[in-house]
Amino acid sequence: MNISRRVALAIIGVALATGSLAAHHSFAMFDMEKNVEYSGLITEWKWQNPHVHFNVLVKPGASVAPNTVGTWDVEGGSINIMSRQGWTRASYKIGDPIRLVGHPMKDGSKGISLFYAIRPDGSRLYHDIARPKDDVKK
Amino acid sequence: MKRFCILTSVIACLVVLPTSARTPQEQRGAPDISGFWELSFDSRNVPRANLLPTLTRAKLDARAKKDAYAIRWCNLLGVPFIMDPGRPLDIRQGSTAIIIVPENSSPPRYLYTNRSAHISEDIFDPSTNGDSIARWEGDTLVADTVGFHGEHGITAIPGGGFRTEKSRLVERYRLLKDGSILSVTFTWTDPTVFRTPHSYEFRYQRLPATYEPRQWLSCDPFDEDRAKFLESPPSPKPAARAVSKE
Amino acid sequence: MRLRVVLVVTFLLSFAAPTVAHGQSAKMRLEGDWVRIDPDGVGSFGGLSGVIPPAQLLPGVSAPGGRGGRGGRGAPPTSGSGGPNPEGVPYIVVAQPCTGGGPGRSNGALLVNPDSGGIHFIEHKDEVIFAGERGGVRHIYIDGRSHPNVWTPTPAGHSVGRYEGNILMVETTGFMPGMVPGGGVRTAETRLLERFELSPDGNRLTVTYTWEDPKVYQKPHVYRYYFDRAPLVESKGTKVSYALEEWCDAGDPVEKQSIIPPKQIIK
Repeated sequence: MNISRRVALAIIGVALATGSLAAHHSFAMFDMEKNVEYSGLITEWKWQNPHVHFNVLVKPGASVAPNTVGTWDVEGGSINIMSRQGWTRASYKIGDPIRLVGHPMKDGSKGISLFYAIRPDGSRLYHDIARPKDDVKK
Repeated sequence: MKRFCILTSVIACLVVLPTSARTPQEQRGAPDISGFWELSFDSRNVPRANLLPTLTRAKLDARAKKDAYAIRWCNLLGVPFIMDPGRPLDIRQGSTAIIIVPENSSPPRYLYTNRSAHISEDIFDPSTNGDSIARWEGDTLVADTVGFHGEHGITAIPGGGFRTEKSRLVERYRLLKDGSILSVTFTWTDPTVFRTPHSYEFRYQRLPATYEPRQWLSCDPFDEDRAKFLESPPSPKPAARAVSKE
Repeated sequence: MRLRVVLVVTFLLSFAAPTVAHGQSAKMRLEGDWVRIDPDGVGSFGGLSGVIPPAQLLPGVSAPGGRGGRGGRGAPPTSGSGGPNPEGVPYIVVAQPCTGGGPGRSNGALLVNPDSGGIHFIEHKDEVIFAGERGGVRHIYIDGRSHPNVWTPTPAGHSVGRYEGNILMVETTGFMPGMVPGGGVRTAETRLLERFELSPDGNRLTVTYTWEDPKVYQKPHVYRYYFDRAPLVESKGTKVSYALEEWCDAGDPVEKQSIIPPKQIIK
């Protein structure tokens, strides 16, 4: 078998073998360049796979950006990945206040891809291992 | 004097050299149950479980259906199934935990030897393997497991019954016959399933140290042919051949 | 007198005798739970793949779809039956979320190059177990055995290792075909050398990957992943770390779905 044939076979093998290696879905529907802060109350808490979801109710107010008002579905990572960043199923419960930074849906619907939650002491609870440059642990 | 010195040194070297290469457990004098272990046709001593009368046939059938679902959808299988998975187990004794690795697509078990309390129920997500802590009592490793998920995986317990979120499993691991056999006694208690504690014993046979485990036996929940095979009723037993009257 | 000195020296040396292939416990410090980190602050999981130096492939060799590693936040779409939703298909379309032991995670990609899930090491004198929380277990034999002459390629290949001081050196071959981060490719003949190196305080793990295959690469493809000890969590007054299970039910319609914009209470 010549080299190019072997490599071609390998590539076909890759296509067959990798299957759903990717994340559970693309994040293309989120505007990943936009970091928006939301403050509200947890109205639903789903500690579940493949991705954790919770709903946040943001009420209108003087210090609240009008475009953040509403009930939002916040999508996190898998239970495992979030747990490794310090989350537990008891991190929040229905009725708790929450401040979070996330990426909104591009189409304007009420969905957010979670980046991190901000705890009362100001520390961040990230949903995944990625960090912004201003919060790198060297 | 010379002889005494030589003898002393030789003994000291014999004692010290192997010790420096031992794991912390070994250094404390505990046996090492590490190895590749398999069950054979005569490895199981499983009496019938004494189940609560409230567990009707219908309830048991419903539970069996759930287990079939777990197999159909390649769910994690969990304890107790992975202790008798049809393939050898790789058990390795480390300094913080003993890991039990099956060859199928279920996660390994960790028997933690570096803590004496279970993870708080407030934060532990019930799982198919539960939370296991273990300690040595002489030559016996005693593992205690709680935190099981009551629905996920294959829940059937050998001898009857099934695991629930209220189940507790105590296992006693002991080497027999110069380490060629690993005896594990399993004792289940569960106020929603058993009238009395349910115990059974498996005796695993040690495989050669050169054994190569198969890695991660594949299970594809989207393989339609496999699904059809699992979901269709088995073919009826062929009728006995008619006996000629002649 | 001379004899006594010799004997005493022999005795003392026996304490300091370097361990050999079958007994390396003095060097074993990897054991425990680890999680990958983003030391450069690239800010997105996809970005982490982006900082890996591109593989220098031989002419005529090309990496299939994507650059290897997990797709996701900001990453270019990767191919595959369980791949991403196309843009404009926002909700409840997740093709194969829970691959179990199927063709997804079990291809070994997450075992060799972990994503954000935890990984665990258990060190024994004959074998180091490397278990990924999001799928699979690697058996790294340190008992002196060689790669087998006959080997059916497997997701994570066949690994043998040895300790050099505090560094675990692992050689793996016999892979099923697959992608390699940085746009690389692996085949059954590709050789991977991994160097698991601990920081002096034992809390940072640097893994250097070197992929070699004269039929694929112009030069060895080298990159690094970084891990920290998994954060401890408070349990009954003590700080603990433990392995998690990654539960996902491919037959459960709820667990298949993605974002579900909630019913609006306030417009």
